[in-house]
Amino acid sequence: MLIQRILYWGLFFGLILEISPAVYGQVVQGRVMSLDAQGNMEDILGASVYFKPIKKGTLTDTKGAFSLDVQGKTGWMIFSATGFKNDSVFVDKNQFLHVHLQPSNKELTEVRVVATPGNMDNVSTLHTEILTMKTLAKAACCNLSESFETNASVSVSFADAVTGAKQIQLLGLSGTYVQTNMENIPSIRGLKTTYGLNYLPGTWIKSIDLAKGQSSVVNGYESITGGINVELAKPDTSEKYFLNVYGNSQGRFEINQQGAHRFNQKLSTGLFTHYSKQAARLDGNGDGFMDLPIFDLYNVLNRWKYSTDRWMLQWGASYLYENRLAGQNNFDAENSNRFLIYGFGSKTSRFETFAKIARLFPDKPYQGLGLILNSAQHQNDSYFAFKNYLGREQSVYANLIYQSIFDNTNHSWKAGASFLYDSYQERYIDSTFARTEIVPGAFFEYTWTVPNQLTMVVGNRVDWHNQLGLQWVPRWHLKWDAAEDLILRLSAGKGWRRVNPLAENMGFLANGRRLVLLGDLNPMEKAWNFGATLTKNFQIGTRKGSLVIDAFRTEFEKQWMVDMENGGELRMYSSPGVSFANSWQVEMNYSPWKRLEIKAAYRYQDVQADYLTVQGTLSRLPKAYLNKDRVLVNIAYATPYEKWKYDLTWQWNGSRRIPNGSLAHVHDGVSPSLTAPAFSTVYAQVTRQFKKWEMYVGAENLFNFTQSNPIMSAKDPFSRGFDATMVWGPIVGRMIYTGMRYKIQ
Amino acid sequence: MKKIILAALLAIPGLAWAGPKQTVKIKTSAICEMCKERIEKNLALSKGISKSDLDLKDKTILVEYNPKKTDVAAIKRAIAEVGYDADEVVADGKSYEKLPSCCKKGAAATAH
Repeated sequence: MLIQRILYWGLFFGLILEISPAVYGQVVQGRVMSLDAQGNMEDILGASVYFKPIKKGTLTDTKGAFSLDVQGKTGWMIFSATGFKNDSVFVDKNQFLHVHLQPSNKELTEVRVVATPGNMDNVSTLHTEILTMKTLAKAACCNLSESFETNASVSVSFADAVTGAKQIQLLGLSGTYVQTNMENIPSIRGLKTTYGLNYLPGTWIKSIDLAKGQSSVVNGYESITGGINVELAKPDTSEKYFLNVYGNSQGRFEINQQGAHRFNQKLSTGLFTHYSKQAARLDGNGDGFMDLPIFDLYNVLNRWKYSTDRWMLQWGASYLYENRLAGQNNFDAENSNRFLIYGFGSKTSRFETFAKIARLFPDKPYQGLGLILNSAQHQNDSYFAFKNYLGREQSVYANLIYQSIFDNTNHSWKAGASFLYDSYQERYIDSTFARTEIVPGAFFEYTWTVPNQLTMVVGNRVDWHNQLGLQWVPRWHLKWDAAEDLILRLSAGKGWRRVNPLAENMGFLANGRRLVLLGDLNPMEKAWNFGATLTKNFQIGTRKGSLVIDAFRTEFEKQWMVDMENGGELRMYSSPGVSFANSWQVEMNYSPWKRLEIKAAYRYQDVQADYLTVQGTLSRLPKAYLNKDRVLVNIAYATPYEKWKYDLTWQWNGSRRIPNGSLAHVHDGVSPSLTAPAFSTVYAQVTRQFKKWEMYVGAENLFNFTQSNPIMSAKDPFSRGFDATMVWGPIVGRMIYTGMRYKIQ
Repeated sequence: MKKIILAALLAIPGLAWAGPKQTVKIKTSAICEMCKERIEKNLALSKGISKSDLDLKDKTILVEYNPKKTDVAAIKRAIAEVGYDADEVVADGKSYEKLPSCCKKGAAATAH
């Protein structure tokens, strides 16, 4: 022990002796280098080095080196360079600083040295949260629909108590108003809307950008409340081999394998495979119905990347097949009489190809030309007892984008044209619905930047829809860096979409209600969205935190209503009156100690719409199944080098209005509302990292809260009173899971 | 099931803190912050090591370990396996090749 002490003290004095001349000079020296995903480094010339306490800065020389007189102060030193993400280092002793800046393209994984807790993007003009692999690993199970469990803005719930389809909700409105893109290709739309969130394996995801409010016109006209862009793992930066195995106490099993190969500096390929299975028929609430569908899901993606200084080509193909079965416990797809035993079946297959071609101009980094191509073939055959549904979709999408500047990079612009061909064939019971949509469009987006102060984006696009005619979409975004750590953002804009009445509401077919489609043969939705957000980054001592306040309002010019207010009927019609959604949220992220991060958020939503009464008058109601209040707390702790990681999330969902489901109920505008109670759910997870692999154990819905009767008239599924769509809370109870990830670099 | 979680939450990390401690000082071929992080991370995930701190000035690393679970030879092997020399143990060739350019020995001349 004595020897140790001597060693320690010796080291301590050694340090003092060595650094003391520098302290005397009060000059901090260091070197700034770039660090890309492959681990390559180069000196950065002309990077800006800024020391906050004395408000002085310098630039790096040709070797990336700098020296700055800190005048004996301690505080944050900020490093920035064009094309790289900002980084900062706390300077409290006089050491030589090695700073590695990451390129600012979004193909990268984690912000390495010091990042603001909460993952708010401080650079984007749009109010954007970035969910990195680290965030996604906090809730290890299983696909895109579950990626938002630790997120305050997005809620995830089951669409109904039979099909197992998950839906997300943002700003008080359903996920159909969120444009979900995969690497900037519109992805979850058309017939894929039904189960689309379940179809993207979580381990394939590299990062998710979640933009609240209107998004850019470049990616289309369909976004109304927000945009989600999912970046998948790239073949040139992925591990050679990745394996993930997962299993849970409810009888679900999953295996994900990813392989990547680099042929040379330019060409690389990746092969991703997924298989998952729900094997056990689970009926925790004893209503005779499976709580979750049993299923087999196969999913495979092969992608290629070819990149040089001047060209970047990416292309690939994916295929998925799923067979789902639910309904009464004793239902058998082959042998049961579907008029006597309630069964639900769904077989989906989807084949997709994509190509992205980008022409780069190395001497003009602000200039670029990109072409995105995508084709998809989607097939679904389903039945709800004896009611059959069949859906076919073929779609082709192209988007051409050119970007350049006016005079200098403070005035940049993007312009382009898009084309969508979408052909649908649907049949439900004895009705056939067929349509072809052809939508050519053009857009122009101008970005005005006052460096470090103001960014304004003005976007316009015009699309011609063969059924809906000419549509104009204006969008406007403003970002003002009011102070160094205070960002104000404003947005306003319009979006519209063609409704897919059946595919988007597939879950609503799981009831005995009579489907009544009123009026409009080509239903569309059109809405304005306005938003204001404030981001304040703060420091208490050396610890960082952020406070985010946002408020949004969505106002529909036209909305497709799904009306369950009358017992025994499911009515769909174009909104006859007013429909709006107001939402505001306060979120705080703070890291009180090293490796401990706390997030606390409160969200309020006020969503109302006019519904038709049986007399034909309007009655304004708060949106059913939607809770006004929600609280989310997430605590994450890691031991040094993330050997152990702990994660705990608590969600509290306030009470909500539900329709009166009794068969005799008639919506006359004066009938009192029913309310479903508030409830909490808790998620917990522990991860242990080893040298080449890691293992996790976790629990969902730890307090085991479930809605006691998610299916009405479950004993009599062929009556008109049967209804599996009155779902407001968790259907399945506590679930324990475990899994492992193995990597070969 | 609850018990398993509790055990995972509480007991296992507890074990890592228990037991007798010894320290050793090893000379490495580390050059920069990245090297420091690589070595310290690998040691953090190695059996029986509770703490390590690499000083870039003299390139030595101070490792705190449990002599019942590991020994100095194993610690040196763990450092070599990341691509760095550890006293008399020479860096693993394959891992060295994979190091970022600034972490390779030749870079030392240009780095400072």
